[in-house]
Amino acid sequence: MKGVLILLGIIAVSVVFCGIIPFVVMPGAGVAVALPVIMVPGEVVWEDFLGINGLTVTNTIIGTLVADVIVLAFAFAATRRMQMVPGRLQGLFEVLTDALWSLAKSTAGPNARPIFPLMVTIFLFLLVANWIKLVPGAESIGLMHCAAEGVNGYDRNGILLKVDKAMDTGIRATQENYDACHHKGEHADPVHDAALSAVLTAAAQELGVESISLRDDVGNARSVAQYVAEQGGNVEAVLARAVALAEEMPAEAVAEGEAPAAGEGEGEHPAEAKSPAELVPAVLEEPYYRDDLYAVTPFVRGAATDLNLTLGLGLLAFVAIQYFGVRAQGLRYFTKFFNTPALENIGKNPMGIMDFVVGLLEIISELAKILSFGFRLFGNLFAGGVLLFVMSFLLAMLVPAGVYGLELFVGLIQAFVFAMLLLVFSAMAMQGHGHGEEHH
Amino acid sequence: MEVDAAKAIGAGLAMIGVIGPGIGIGLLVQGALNAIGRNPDASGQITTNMILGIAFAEAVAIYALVVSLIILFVL
Repeated sequence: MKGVLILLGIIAVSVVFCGIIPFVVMPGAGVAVALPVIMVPGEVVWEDFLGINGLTVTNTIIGTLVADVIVLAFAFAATRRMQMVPGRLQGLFEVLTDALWSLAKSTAGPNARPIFPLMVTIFLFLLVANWIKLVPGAESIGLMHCAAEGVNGYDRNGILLKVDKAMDTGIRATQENYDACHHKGEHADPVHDAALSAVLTAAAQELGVESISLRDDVGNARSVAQYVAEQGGNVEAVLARAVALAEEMPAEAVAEGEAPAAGEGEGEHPAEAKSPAELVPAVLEEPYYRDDLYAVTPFVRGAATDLNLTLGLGLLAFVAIQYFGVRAQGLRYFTKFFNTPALENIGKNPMGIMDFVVGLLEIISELAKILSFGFRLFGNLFAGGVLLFVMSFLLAMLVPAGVYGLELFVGLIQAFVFAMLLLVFSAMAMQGHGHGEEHH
Repeated sequence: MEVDAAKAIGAGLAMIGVIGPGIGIGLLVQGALNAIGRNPDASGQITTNMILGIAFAEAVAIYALVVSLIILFVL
């Protein structure tokens, strides 16, 4: 009996969180989950930051800086006043370093000492950077701006995107949409637009396109025509009705609409003043593009979701590996790539030429480490972000929590793998390769 | 529109490449679990090496993922 009740409870909770809230409550309030913008490069938050020309700040740079600050702050706080009997923070750091140190010791033996600081720095930085993007608000709170070409845009509702359908993918913006949105309110003839849209709205309502009255920000006549078309109304019928209405309209009503412009000089534009009846047919001729497609660029994005950071770290790791190799072995390190000792006694051992060629191939596999370091980190973190986005988009509640747990794990593992690979490769470079060892 | 369709198909085909790493990671974990079963004391070191091996196998899957991302978002 108790088991059945628990089962029913679980089912009820699932129905509420996976069904009713994301599919009924949230769309009803206009706050269903919008399809996030998925872009490989970091998205630009500020162009020309601080007025410096060409200094663009992307959200991945902000994520990197935040991670830096957090790591530095923690390290500083933990080591500022070190005591024999450690406090909580110092204790945490001691446990962490100790575990990593014993791991490094067991993997790299006596070579662990010089590699260790770099390895732990990268580990801590990546750990924090990977987990930052899981903080609620990161990758979701940001600047709202006009949707650029190819980005799915939504209407806005104050400071939120207005998403009133579950799994609404929005409308893919074109360059024209972006331009229209960017230059919104700069129409040449606002007075006539106002008069026109009033006439068109009246005509549309008369012909039963109801929802048009819900839109209070109709700024120009063309958006009314577009709206009629979107609602499945007959645009031409509405326009014809609008012409009829405009003709019936007393001249004063049109003049009233022009009142704001009157101050600027009545006599100047008498020839240009057209009646709505003349203007209505022109509405269809001018192309209309939706000007209300917005997208959000988050302020903070996971640092490792940008190839610039991961390839940079890969390059750093590559240089560090070569440095440790040369430091431990001197120039003899490069015999790994240019195996001249194998060529020396080629008379006795003709297979030495094979060893030399294999050494040359080592150069390629060494360079491939940069790509492999960079793409592994980037691919895992970027794919993790996309997974979270898509899961939250499909099912706003409950299920993404499980994916969050997975991403927490992936962030830790990737930071660990990067640090461990750096350690292992460096240790291998310091030991020298098999042939060198045999002669000792 | 046809270009978009071709992109979607291409990205999907590129992800076929993750079959191999999937099998590889399975074999790796199988081997590691066998080893831990035989010698539980060495589980720490086995786990570390297993994770490193998984990282190498997974890199191949990531290459496939990167290719499909490039097809979808860059091309």
